[in-house]
Amino acid sequence: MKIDDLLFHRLEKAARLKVSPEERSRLQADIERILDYVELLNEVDVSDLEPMVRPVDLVNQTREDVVAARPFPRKILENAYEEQDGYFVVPKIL
Amino acid sequence: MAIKPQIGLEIHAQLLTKTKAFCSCSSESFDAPPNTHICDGCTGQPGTLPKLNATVVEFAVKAALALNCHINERSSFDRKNYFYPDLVKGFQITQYFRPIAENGSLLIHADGRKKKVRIRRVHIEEDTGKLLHSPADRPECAFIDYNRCGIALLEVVTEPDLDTPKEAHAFMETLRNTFRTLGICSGDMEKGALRCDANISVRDTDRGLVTARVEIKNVNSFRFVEKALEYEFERLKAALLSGEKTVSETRGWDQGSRSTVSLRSKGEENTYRHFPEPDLPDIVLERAWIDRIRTTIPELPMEKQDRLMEQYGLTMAEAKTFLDEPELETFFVAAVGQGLPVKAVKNWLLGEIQKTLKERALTIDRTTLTVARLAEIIEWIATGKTTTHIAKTLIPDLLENDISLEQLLSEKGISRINDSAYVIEVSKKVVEEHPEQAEAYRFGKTGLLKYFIGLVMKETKGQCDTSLVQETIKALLEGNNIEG
Ligand SMILES: [Zn+2]
Repeated sequence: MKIDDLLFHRLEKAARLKVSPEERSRLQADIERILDYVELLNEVDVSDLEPMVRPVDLVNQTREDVVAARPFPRKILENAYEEQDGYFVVPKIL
Repeated sequence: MAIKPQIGLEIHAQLLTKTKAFCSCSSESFDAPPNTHICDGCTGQPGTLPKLNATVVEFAVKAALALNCHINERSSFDRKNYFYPDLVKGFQITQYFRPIAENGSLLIHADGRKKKVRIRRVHIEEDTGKLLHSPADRPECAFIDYNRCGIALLEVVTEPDLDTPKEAHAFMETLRNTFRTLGICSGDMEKGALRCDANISVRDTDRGLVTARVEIKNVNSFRFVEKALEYEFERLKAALLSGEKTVSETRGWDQGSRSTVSLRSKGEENTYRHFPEPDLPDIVLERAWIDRIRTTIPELPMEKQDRLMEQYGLTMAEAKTFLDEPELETFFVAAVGQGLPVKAVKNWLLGEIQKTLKERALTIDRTTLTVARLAEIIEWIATGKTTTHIAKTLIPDLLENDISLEQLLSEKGISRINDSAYVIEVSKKVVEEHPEQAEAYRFGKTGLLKYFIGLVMKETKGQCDTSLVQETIKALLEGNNIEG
């Protein structure tokens, strides 16, 4: 699949990444190679097969409804691109 | 010509579980500081796995049973993919292909009749984060709080069975009351615990025409959903009559202009690329377990309304008031249980008492009024020691002071004037002072009787028995002998 400049730009924006021109051509080629590799799967005929969602046949794996606070909230917030007053800050949407 | 709307609803109810749907974070998000109830799971950190909250399944099954649904023996989870900052993982876990329950119904009362509304499906999903668009000090930004992200939701989808905006309102109210009775959702719309999207199309059955389907989203009260639907019905009907083309779109309610406004058209809609969630095993439910949950279901609102009507001879509206005001119902049942006459208790509770409670934004359990005091009022009126009129004026005092009727009457210096001689005297004076009206009455304007009664009540400061006054005035005006 061809990753043209327009599509690459959209991915860049969506992922909030800034990519240098040198990185760009390398990444474009990488992504194309990965997609082509996955594309191989389309060559297999699965029309007669029941789709398999997961390799193990477990059911009803539930947990009790008990609060277990994790020590992470602060750490997760520190990963934010920007933080203010405890909020994640993103560019305006509406 | 028959032009009718066709309305369907999608309701999201936040489940009252202690933790979120797929992680152990607290689900009490509303008053918590932003991003304090988040973890690696609900913020989608790489390598984390969801684990289903057992109580979510139990609550969903309770709802499904109350909604007379077919409960699927096996149900499963799927990913709904979309890219928006309220969703950290880039997808929402929902039940798209195999919901927990389908094909149910809910009985509602609307416009004085019963109606069965079909339920298409009930499924479990997770809530999204909350966005704060363009905060005052940072208009170029949006702030995100993920406390809500991952809270368990139950989505209920109806068939387009609702024929009027009023029926839609009745459905939402009945569903909310049902969920409250089950104890699975607070039903608090202002806090977003219950949210409703409506879809409407309008059809002209004579000409076989139908408009595009419009979705109404993000409306935060039942009343506004009803208003938005009323507005949309008129708008689509006008378009249908004038032959104007309508488009499938999503609209929101703008309370300022009391109209709906377009949010986006269907063309801009995402494709969600639903696919099975590989990280969550299926739910398989055993009949015996479902039957056990069934035994925990209490009497539901509609059943209760029917029972109240039958047991106490209440009208539908009266029964509904008791349904909406559980404290009032508890008081009613207690009073009637102690042998007080149903009619008197009901008239007091749903009349002057409810009116005063509303004015003061109180519930009856937070006042000083007891069943014993109400019994006293009813007895005093029945035995002629006071009048309904006087007792009514004392209700505010009786709700705020733990004082007997006798004490209150003597404190206020009010006594019932049931001396008929006095009533006759005042009535005579009033009739004599208004000869023109008296004449008009005799020539057939019998409605003036009320006018004269009013004058006497005013003259006696409302302390007379109304029926005595009425009798006296009537006799006077009609020239009957009243002395003997
Ligand atoms: Zn969490």
